[in-house]
Amino acid sequence: MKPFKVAIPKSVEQASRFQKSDDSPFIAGGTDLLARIKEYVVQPETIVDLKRIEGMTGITSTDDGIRIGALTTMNEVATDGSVTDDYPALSETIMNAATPQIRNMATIGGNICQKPRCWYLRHEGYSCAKNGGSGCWAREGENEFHAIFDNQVCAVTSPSNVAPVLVAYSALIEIQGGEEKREIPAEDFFITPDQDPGREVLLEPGEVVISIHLPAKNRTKKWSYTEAREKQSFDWAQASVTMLYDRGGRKGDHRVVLGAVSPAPLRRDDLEKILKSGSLDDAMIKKLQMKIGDGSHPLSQNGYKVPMLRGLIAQGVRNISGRKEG
Amino acid sequence: MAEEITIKVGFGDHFRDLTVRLQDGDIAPWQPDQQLDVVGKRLPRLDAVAKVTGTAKFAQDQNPAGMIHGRILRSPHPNADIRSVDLSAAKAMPGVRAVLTVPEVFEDSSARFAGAEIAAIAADTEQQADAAMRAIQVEYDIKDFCVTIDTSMEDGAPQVGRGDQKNVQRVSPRSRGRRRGGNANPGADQQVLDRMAAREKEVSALLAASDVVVEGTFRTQVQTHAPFETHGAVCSWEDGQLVCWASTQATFGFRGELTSNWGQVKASECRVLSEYVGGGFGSKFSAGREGVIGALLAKEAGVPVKMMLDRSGEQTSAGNRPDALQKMRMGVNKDGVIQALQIRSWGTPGSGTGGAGAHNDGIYKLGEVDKVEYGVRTNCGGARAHRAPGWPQGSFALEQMMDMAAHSLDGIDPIEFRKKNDDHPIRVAEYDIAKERIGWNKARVRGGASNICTGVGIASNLWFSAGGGGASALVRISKDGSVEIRNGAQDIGTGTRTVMGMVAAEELGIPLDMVSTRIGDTNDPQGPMSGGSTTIGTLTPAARLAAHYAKKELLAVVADRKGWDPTDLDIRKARVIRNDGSDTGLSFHDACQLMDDDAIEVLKARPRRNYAGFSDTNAGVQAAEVEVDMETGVVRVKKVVAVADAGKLINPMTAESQVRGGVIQGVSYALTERRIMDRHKGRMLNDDLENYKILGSLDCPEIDVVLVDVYNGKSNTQVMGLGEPPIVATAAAVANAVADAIGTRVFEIPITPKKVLEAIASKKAPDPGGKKKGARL
Repeated sequence: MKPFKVAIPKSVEQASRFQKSDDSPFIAGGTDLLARIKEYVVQPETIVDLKRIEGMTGITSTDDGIRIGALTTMNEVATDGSVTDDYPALSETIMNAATPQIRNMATIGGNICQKPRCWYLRHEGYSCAKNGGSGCWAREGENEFHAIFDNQVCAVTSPSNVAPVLVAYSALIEIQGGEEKREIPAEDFFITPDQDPGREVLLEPGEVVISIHLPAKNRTKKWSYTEAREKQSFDWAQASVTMLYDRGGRKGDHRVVLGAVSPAPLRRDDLEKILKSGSLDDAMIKKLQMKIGDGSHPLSQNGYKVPMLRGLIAQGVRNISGRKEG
Repeated sequence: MAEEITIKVGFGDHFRDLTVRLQDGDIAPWQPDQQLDVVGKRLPRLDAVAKVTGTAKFAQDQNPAGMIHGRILRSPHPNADIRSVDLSAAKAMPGVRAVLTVPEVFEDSSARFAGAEIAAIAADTEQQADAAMRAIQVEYDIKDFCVTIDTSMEDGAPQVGRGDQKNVQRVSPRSRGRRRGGNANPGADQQVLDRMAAREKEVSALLAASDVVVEGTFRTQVQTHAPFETHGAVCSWEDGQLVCWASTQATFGFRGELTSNWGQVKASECRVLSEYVGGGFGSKFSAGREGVIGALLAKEAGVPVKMMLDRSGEQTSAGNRPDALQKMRMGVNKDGVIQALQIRSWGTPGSGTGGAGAHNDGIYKLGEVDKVEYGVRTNCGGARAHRAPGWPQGSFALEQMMDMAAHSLDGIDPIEFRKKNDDHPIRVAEYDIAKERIGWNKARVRGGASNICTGVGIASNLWFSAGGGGASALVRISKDGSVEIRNGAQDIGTGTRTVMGMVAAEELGIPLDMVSTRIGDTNDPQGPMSGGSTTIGTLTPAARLAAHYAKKELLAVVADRKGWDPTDLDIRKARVIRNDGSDTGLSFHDACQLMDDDAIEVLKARPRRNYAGFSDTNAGVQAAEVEVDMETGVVRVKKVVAVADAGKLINPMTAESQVRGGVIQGVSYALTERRIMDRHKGRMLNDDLENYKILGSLDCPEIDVVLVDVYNGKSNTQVMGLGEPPIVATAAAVANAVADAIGTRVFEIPITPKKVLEAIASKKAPDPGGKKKGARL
């Protein structure tokens, strides 16, 4: 790796000032950034270490749900009682991700801001729409693990297992830049390359994710998180389906969010509508399966993700119908 | 001189007498009724604690005073000729002490894969070396390339090699008069072509006459070795002597390359040390370019240089198991006897053609075999021997053909079909063990309410390695009662050190913890490379002989000082005893005190040749049980029963470890590992351990190892190798189990969710066998 300086701000305001440009990325757990620095994928002059900023760790109850500090480690989130009780899909997805070692280092803020795992993007020597060049190597190249939805500009998949679950729970991402704070719904926070190929999340230079707010309204749903991947130890999902099922049934406010098949978590209100249309039986599964591939544009090697999604949503429905209300 | 003895050879209920003419000075193999105190016991490896606590020092851990860091610049282009290498900017960078270019040192100006070595540099810190390496200016003539076997075989494909080298070249049957690395001599080749044509005609006729013919096309992928410790060495010149701490499977081979091949130094002035090795799997037999580069950089810099590969260099340049495309036709008669087999195979070992073959024609009685193998050049990193080179590829295809043939014979059980075509004296017994322990006949889950289907599959293996000449051991018994055994060969993690110590301890009549074992140093007596699963088969007979004659010398001292009959004395459990078993009152320690000299030292070489023995090959059978999620295509291997034999078992615990390792690597080969080459730039995209997917701990099946102890009589320790055989059958057994579970076949590994979903989707009609319990494709 190329030597770099480390700036250690004591406050978010200071962190914002230190991050003058993309040349001074933030680092928290370091499980993503350090790997990219070692491989010369990025060569920052300075990295800004957020770990010394106080007040950004831990999980607190609020009037309306819970607030998770962005520097809380993945393992702390997954094992927290309020998460396992009220947001079990979040705990489940984290325990599926990476390894115990990584879950002990990686933070939830870093997890949702990590760069995609596209092997072209992470190889020195491939310039593309995502890193200042143009075009997408994967679309006509090696794309077995790439996106089947929203892949016309760039075929990366959103790498975060957590992101689709946050979208399903209607999480709010709390952001601070300088002294300015704002909250963005998770559904809007994760963006696609046609919105801006250079970014995966709606952060402006100097802005830090400071916490994630999970509202109370979704917490009593029946839920399911299913994913498929080649390895059970340390692998990335090839597809995932997060489902929340409102006890309200036909009038209910259901959630279906797909992960690892598009550059951002993909909420499917068309499937949510189908969930309102009847009971969770085989006919319902068939309807969802018929529809789930709509809008996909598989590439040369990743067409299997459509039948894989069909399988995962069937398992999701069965999980929900067989599960007591959470 | 030669003494003739009669020994018992065999296993279980299958023993017979064998007359053996002992070669000069050799001793009789242990006999089945002989009471052994150390050999055959389950003992933890001697270095287990050092390894798990981190005190074991691997090559990567060596940091001699003054050491600096080497880096290798690699070609980003898959097919190029190096026009010039300009080191001037790099030389001027801070901390740089030594530089070299590959065209100068190796007289090779072609870069035929992305990752090929171009130049090297050594600097005071790793960061300085990195920076300087990136300042090297290289001009290339860039050529078109092929990085897959399919593109290389197309008409009009870019030429991978140089000169008149063709992309596709027959490697077997070989032509006489073939130039090394080049094409065949046309005249000599015609004779081979004529013989091949006659063979094809004969086998085609037999196939036509067979009751049933099954056909299949099979593909296996490129598998890298991916050892934890990358290749390389720490090299240091001290007073004109070269010392290398190397990560190697052949301490003497590493030295040989630096001395004979590169002429850098005399063997007498070169010492290679390798006490611990972080895995090799066949890729670490020579010093490699990185070893030579390390030695040269250290010489120029005048200080020690650490020249270990980074992970990308390891994945792209340090070897792999070639892929294979195999087409087979098998003819079988209704009685279940195989009549003939036709095989055509292609494999790519990178820009060369060596090692492209897929082996499979020795396991079963296959009738007449017509087999032609081709090497296909691609602009990819070169192949090296990989744990049972060629065998897992060949087994994957053949064993599926066996199941397909059994299925087409209307319900012959795959195990019964194999037994019918197998006459290996050991394997025949092993089938029944595997069958019982995997639960072969129990009902399997076939869909219904569940999305999970289960299946079982079986496959066999063989190996041929009782070792050979080329090993000596030194046993030293000191007056203070301490004992050491020395051999310069390495322990690549297989337990060689422990097993060598156990053999010496058994022969000396003392417990293992009284023996100090010294290995991995070319200043000690010569020992084998760890290849072909020959290490302990080669080494242990020398260890036993040295211990035997050292004990004799000690007992001669005792007899002389006490006035006893030396032929009436022996040592057991660290006591000097008489032939009737009675204790002389003298301990081993007391006996040593009787020496006049400081020590007894015995250096003994092993006989070069082995005896006829019970069987020239070891056998083995593996059975796998899988669960397949029919909706997502995810395959989980639940259990593998691995029945293995390796001659006489010295330490069943380390032997089991070998089998477990082979099964894990085999499941990994079956399900997840593959090299991914980019069609755009010809680079390996997963040159790391994140996207190059090696089986993780949660993916490992239950592994039920059953070891069959065979008194094979081939040497005085009767050891056969066990490093390679356990990987041969695993992928094939898994593939057969997947076919059993899903009712259709995946003809290609790794069997990923993608391929399973595609196979299920292309299944034209529901599997008629699905209704029958236990019916198989």
